[in-house]
Amino acid sequence: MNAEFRRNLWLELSTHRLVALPVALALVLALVHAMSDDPWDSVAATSAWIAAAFLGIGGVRRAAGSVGDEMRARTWDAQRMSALGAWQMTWGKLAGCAAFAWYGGLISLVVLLAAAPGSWKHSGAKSAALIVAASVLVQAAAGLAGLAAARKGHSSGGIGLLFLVLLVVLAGPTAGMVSTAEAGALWWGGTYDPVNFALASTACFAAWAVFGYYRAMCTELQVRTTPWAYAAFNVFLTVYLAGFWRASEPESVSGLNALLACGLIVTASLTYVHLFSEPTGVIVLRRIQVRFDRGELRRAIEESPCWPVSFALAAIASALIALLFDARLAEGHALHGLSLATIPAFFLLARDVGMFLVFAFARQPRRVEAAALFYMILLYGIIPGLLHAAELKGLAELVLPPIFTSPGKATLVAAAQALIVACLLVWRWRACRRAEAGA
Amino acid sequence: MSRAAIAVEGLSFEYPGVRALDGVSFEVVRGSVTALVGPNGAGKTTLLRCLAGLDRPLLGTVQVAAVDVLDEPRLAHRKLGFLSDFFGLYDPLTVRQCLSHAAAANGVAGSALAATVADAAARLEIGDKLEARAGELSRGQRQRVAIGLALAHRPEVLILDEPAAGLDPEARLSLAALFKRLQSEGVTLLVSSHILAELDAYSTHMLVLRAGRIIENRALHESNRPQRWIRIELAAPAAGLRARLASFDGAAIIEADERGALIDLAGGPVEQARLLSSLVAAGFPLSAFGELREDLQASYLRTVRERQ
Repeated sequence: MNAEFRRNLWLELSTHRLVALPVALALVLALVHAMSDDPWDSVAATSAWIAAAFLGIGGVRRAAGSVGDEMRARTWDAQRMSALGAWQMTWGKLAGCAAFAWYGGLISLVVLLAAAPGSWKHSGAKSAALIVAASVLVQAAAGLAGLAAARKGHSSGGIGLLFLVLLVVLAGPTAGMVSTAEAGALWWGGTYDPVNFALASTACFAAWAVFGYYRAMCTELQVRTTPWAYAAFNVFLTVYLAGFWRASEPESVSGLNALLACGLIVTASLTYVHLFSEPTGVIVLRRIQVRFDRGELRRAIEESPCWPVSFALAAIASALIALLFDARLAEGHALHGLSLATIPAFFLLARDVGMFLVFAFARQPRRVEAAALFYMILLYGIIPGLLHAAELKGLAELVLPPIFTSPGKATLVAAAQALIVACLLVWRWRACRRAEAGA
Repeated sequence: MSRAAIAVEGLSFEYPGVRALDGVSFEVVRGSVTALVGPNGAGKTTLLRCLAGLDRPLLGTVQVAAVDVLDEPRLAHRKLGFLSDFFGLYDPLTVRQCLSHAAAANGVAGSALAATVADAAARLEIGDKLEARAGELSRGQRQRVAIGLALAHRPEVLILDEPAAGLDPEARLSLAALFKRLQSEGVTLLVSSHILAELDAYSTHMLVLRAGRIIENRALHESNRPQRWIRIELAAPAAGLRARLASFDGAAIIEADERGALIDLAGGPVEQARLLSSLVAAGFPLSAFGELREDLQASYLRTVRERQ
C-alpha cells in the first residue's frame, strides 16, 4: 500500500470514527424518512447534500492543509527526503488526507444511489458522479492552492476557507443551470445534454487539478520538469472558454476571433494568478540568471516560475490579435476594436508584472502581494476615478489609458508607464547586486 | 570507492541581500564523525540543508556517497539521512507507526518492514516505547525516534543539525554513545552544533564555518601529529626548568616557571620519552608529565585566532 496513504488512514480513520459515522448518518436519514411526505425522495436529496458537505467542506479543508500542516509540524522535510515518487505522494495525500470525508461522502452516495426515485429528471448515478468529480476538482485545487500558500509562508486555513466560499458561490448557479437548462449546453458547434456536459467538464477540470497538484509536488520533491504542462493548460482553458463564446454568437464571432480573444484573457489572467501565488523574489531570478550565464538553459527553464510562460503566451496572443483579428465586427460589439487595444493592454500587463517585481526585489521584501495589489487598485480605479470626478480627463487618461476608445494614445501612455517601471526594476536589481557584493 | 563521503565544491547560497555561503569547498572523510562548528549565523544550517538536497544553492556542486545531489536529489536521498534542528514527529501515531511509515516511505516493503522497525528500535534503544504515541515522549526519546526515522533506510551518510539542543546531560551522553556506535557500523556522520563540549565526545574531524566560509577542515586527536603539547608539573619549585627545556631539541616553551611548564614538543612518543628521561636525570622532582590533549573547544578557538 502507498505509505503516505496508509499514514493518512492511521491519522484519519480511528475505530470510533469508522463505527460512529455510519450510525450517525443512519439516524439522520431515518429521521428525514420519518418526517417526510415523500420519504425516499427526501432521503436521496438529503444524502446528496450530506455527501457534498462531507466532500466539499471537510475534504477541501483537509486537502488545503495537506502540505501546509506538515510544514508547520516540521515533518515535511522528512517527507521530501523519502523515496516516495511525486505521483505516490499526490494520490496518497489527496485520497488520504480527506479519507474520513470520503468515507462519509461515499456512504451518503451509496444511499443516494439506492434511494433516488426514478421520477428524478437526472438519474441518481449522474448526480453521484457529478458530486464525485466536483469533489476531486475542488479538493485537488484546494491542495494546490494550499501548497502554493505554504510555499510562500501563508496559512492554508485561509485558502481552505476561500475554496469553501467559491464552492458555495459556484455550486448554486451550476446546479441551477444544469437542472433547468432545457435547450442543452452550447459549445463550439454542438448542443449537448447539460448534465453530461457538466459532468465531462468537471471531470476534465478535475483531471487538470490533480495533474497540477502532481506537478507542484514534483517541484517540492525536486523532480525536474519543464513547464510544458502549464502551457498546455493555458491552451486547454482558452479552447474551452472560446467554445462558449463562439456558440453564443455564431453569426458575429468567428472561431479564430473567439480563440484569440479568450487566449489573451486567459493568459493575462493566469499571469496575474501565478505572479501572486509563486515564489518570485530576487533569489529565484538570480538563480535563473546564473543558469543562463552558465549555458544551462534546460535547468534555467526547470527552475523558472510558471508566470513567465503565461506572460510569453499573452505576448504571442497580443501579437496574433494585432495581426490576424477579424475586425469586421459591428460598432458596439464587445470585440470591436480589440485588435488595436491589445497592444496597450499587453503594455499594462507588463507594467503590472514589473511593478510586482519592483516590490519583490526589495532587500527585505514584505507583503509584496498586498503592496502590488494596492497600487494596482490605485492605478486602475481610485486615481482615474477621482480625476474623472474632478473633470481632469486628460490626466485620468495618463493614469488609465483609454485602450478601446483611443488605442493609439493608450499605446503611448501604457508603453511609457511600462518603461518607467522597467527603469525602476533595473535600479532595484542593481541595488540588490550591490548589496550582495558588499555583504 | 572514493575516500570522501561528502564532497562539496564552490557552494554559494544567497538570501535577499546576504550571501550565506560563499564558495564553500570541503570533503568529509568516509566513516568519520565530523563536527561542523561555527558561531550563530555562520551558515551551518543552510550548508546542511544544501547537502541534504532540501535547499537549492546558487552555485556549486555537492556529492554525497558519489551521487550529485543537485542533479539527482531523489537518488541522493536514498544514500543519506537528515535530521533538522527543528524536526517534527506525527504526534498522534505510535513510535512503531512512525518507524514503519519512514521505512515504507523509503522503499522497505512486505515482510522486511517489521524487521526494519525492530532493527531501528534496537539500534536506537527505544524498543520499550514502540507502542507509545510520539506526542507522549520526552525530548530525548523524541530525538532518538527522529534519528531512527532518518536511519530507517540505513543511509551511508547521516547529517544532523544541532541534535543535542534541549537534551539533558544523561540524554546527551546517550546520544554520544549512539553516534559512536553508528560510526563503528560504518555510517559517516556530519553533526553541527555551536555547543562544542557535546561534539568533543564523539567527533573525529572538525569543520569550521565562519561568515559563510570554511576556515578549517582537519582531523582531531591525531596520534601521529608532528606537534604535541606536554604539561610538566613539579612537586617542589626548582630553578632552571625553563633553561633545561629551552636547551632540549624540538621543545618550544609556551609557558614555564619554577613549578612547571607547558611546551610544544616536536616529534612523537620517542621524543616525549627522551625529554622525560632528561628531566629525571637532571633531578627535577616531577609530579606530572604528559600530553595535554587539545579539546574541540581549544582547537576551534586556536583555529579562529590563527585565521583572524
